[in-house]
Amino acid sequence: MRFRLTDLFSVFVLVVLIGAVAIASQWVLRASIIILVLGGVGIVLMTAQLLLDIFGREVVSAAPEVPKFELPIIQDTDPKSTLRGTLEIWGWMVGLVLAVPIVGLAVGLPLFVLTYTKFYGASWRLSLILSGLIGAFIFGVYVQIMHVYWPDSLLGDLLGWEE
Amino acid sequence: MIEALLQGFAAITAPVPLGFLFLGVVLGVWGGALPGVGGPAQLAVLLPFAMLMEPVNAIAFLIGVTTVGNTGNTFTSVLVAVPGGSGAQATVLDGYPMARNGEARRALSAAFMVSMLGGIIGALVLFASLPVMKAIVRSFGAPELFMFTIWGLSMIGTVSSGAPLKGLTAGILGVIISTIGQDVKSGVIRFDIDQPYLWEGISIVLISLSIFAIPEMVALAARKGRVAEVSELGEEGLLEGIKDAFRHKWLVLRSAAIGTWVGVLPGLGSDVADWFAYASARQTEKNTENFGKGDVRGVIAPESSNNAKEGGALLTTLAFGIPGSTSMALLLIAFVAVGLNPGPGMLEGELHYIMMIIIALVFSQILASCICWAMVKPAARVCFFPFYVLVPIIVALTFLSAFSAHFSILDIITLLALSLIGYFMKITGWPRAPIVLGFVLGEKVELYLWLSVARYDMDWVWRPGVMILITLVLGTLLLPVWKTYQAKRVANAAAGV
Repeated sequence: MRFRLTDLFSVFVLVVLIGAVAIASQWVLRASIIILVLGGVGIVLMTAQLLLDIFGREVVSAAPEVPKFELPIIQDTDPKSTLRGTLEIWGWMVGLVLAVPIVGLAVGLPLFVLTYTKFYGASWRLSLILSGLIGAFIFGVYVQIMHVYWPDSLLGDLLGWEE
Repeated sequence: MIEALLQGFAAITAPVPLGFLFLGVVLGVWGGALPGVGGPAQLAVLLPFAMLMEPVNAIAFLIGVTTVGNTGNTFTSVLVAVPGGSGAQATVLDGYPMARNGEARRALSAAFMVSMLGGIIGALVLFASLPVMKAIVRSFGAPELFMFTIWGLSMIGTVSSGAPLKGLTAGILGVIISTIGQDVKSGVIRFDIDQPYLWEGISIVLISLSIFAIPEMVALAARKGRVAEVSELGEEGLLEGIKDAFRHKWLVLRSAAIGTWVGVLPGLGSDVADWFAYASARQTEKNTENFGKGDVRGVIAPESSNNAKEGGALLTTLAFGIPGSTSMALLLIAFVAVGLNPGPGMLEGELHYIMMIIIALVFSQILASCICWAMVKPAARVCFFPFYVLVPIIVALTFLSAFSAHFSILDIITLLALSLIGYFMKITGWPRAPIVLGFVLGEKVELYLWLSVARYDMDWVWRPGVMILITLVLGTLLLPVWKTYQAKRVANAAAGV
């Protein structure tokens, strides 16, 4: 018997499927039938997969059978630096989302490009050009052509941009 | 008919309509290449201008804009694993690995060649089937459409990358995610977690970006490297790609036929054509062990079909006045606004306009492919950009694209939440394509099943079209089993067992 960290995701999927079926069972049959039927099948399949993964025979192969596109990223690089890099990029993206209510999306995105490129060693010239390009794209397409309504932001309120 | 064809040709090849066609193609390719800009949003912006034009110019311009997006969106699918549109999702599966192997030019060149061929095949089918299409489309009701979607779901096994149980479960998860929002049949609001934002459901754009694009960008940022793992781009790639298209001519024809057929069927949706063609190629081609690792046939199949479907989609829009997608609905509005009358009457009184559209469609495909070819060499260099240039640009464009779904900040939060699922699928070795395929087909499976039962009770099962499609589904499910059995038998015979 072996339980690997990767099996945690299978457990998560199983819990999601059980939750979906439990919630759907409270609705009229017309709205829930497909969820009940397919969800039920999914629960059986996922349970079988977990049992195979935990109790099944471990197959050791020299070359991965999985297509390259689906290969896990922690493979040919140092796991520690890959983990650090992964946490960093998620941190950047979460930070960007958190910055949107403060500076707004139209300002936040060019700012993100500027700070990210600069942080990882790009020259000021390159950082400014790239963030300028994103800014020009947002202004040209989203503001001037599509007339998009941007969500409220603190900076926008201060500068009266919404008006 | 020939007279109408000549009349249409003369009108569309005049300098002014040709100029508008060129402008439309440039805008269409540009919109396709930038995630979140093309498709219905772009068409909606351009519609007011087109409505002021003469009918011939409007036809040239609108066909140019509408029918080449799937050629332009190959760039991002191949180079950075960001599906530029819903018709280029399956292209990522082999196109991106080709880019990582240093074969971006070959992948793009093959894609543009088959896009052109597929588009022309679609236009020819549109031309040839005008007299008979009415009867064929009318024979296709909800039961047949239901079985068609089930056929699509049965292909999940083929895109499951050697993990069938996980693939099927991912497909089911995709179907369940597609049920989020208000159920039109019963009025029940499903899985909304008290958020009105979810009442309309989750956009396919968010699904494809979160399952493919963000996890790949996270992987690139974590590696702190470049997309390409080799140091040089193959100089022969461009020519090799063109040769690939002709080397696999039967695959191109088959995939274009699938695309045209999917386009013809109203309501099936244009975003399934590439998946159908990809799965079909993976099942019917020989030596498929390289699919998913950078096999050019994995690019040829979806790219032939997603352009061919335009001819099919135009057929139902023009001949019956039934738009099969949002873009076709907008096109229909524009055609009516400039004085055309799409519908059965157009086949009799305004045949020359239909011919104009067919010729404009052919010209658009050729022009778009030429424009894209010209950009292959510089575009392929993207694979050598360092991560700190590529990652922020792609993440910013992905966020913008997600924001375009409902123009709400919740689009971006949903994108990040779904991206976590996509990322964990990637690092735990789950096949990701089935979840997208399940999502794309989920809504249709439910709707057509309900319509079939409501209209025919259980008698729909015995309709001839349904029986044929059931056979097709069984064939799709059993073919891999048969192939495995045969391979084992051959191996045993070779080993003398």
